[in-house]
Amino acid sequence: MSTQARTSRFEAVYTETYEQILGYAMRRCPSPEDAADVVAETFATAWRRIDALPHGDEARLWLYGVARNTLANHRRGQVRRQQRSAELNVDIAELYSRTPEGVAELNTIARTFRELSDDDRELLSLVAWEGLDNAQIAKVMGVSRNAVRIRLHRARKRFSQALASAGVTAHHFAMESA
Amino acid sequence: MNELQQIARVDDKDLAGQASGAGAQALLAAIVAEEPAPAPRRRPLKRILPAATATAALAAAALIGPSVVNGKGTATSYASSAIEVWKEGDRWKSRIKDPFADPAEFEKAFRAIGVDVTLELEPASPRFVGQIFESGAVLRGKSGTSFFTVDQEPEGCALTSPGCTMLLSFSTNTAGQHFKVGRPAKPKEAYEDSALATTKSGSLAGYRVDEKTVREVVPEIEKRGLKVVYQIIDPNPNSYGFTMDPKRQNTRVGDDWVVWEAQEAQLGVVRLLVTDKRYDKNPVYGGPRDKVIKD
Repeated sequence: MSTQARTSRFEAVYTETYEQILGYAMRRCPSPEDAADVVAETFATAWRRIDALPHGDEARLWLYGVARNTLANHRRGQVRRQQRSAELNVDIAELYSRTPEGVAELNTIARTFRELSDDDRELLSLVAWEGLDNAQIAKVMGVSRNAVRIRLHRARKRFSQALASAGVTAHHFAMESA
Repeated sequence: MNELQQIARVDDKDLAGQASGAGAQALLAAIVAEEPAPAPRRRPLKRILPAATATAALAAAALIGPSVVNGKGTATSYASSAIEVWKEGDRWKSRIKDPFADPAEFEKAFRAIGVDVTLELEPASPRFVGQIFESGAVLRGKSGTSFFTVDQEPEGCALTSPGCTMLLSFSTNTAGQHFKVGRPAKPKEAYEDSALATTKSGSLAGYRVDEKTVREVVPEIEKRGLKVVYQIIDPNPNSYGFTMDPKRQNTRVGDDWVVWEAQEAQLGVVRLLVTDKRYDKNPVYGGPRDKVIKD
């Protein structure tokens, strides 16, 4: 692929998926700076590995996978703070200022959810927030569909139990695939 | 609606339009300004040097693009695979990294720095590469000064040679202007200019075609490895000059037709300006060529 073809392809994928990757990062990062880091590093990685980027909707799933790894590295403090453009900081900070997190913070469901293990929380999030089914999650996580099915079943069970302990009746949320 | 969706900070639907926002576009420009890792390094060293210097910091370096922001919320520098723009004193400077890029790429760069300027690079014969073909106000509101210069990097190099890069510079209060500048042509691309092929640095240098017949001229031109195309011209009856009727251009040119001048048409091709009969005065010059062209 020529540099021009790579650039055109990357621009198309970027435009198509930017909002979804930004959403993924914002739903998981406590601060706009962290979300901007994850978005920037995810797309920078995609550009470096453009030849490996799959076509169609699989590009989005692949990018979720990159974002997931980036986020994990970020949490481990392994990603240096990116030198991002000021415009990106401004845009994402503005989006954060619009979201009334205070209400969600006090919510028992939110707190219980946050106390789940990273793996359980990520699986349930991919279903509830990104609207992915088992096959799509398998692609994001690089595991078999069967493994997703089993892990998701266990995650749902643990979440229900945690909610019950917190005095919340378990609903059917995040219990079914989207 | 499930409860987990409700506790999400944001829904993708709430982010509609973010991809075209300034932040997303700045990030995109900064990322693609770098070579993707597996891309073959075919570019001359000089052109990848700015990137190579920054590559030490890897991912961080991938995002050095429009990072400085002025009071208006626009960047004061911009870099993409097509163009780099930065500020020096009271002038915007830009380096054309890809003269064949879509004009939209240049427009994107100038928009990112908040400058209302459009730039078109047109295929030009060698002498007109780097020449300003056209500049002026775009009729849509604001306009400003347009002091605009074209330079070379390294200084004074021939813009037609591979290691030579075009630099553009214009005042920071330029607004509402458009510029057309000559760039090297690709094979089979018609030149936008009509440079004479018969002057010193032309492809027929040393050979005159004016007032000769097609029969005389064509073998001489073909001997030089060049191809011929024709433009059939109609001399203005009462005055200097000529017109060209597009409908007549498919007419077959006879061997006895008269040639008045030769122009560069494209790489390896010259255009002969011809009429089907002889006139008293060369219609291209309103008289003998020597009165006008002093080589």
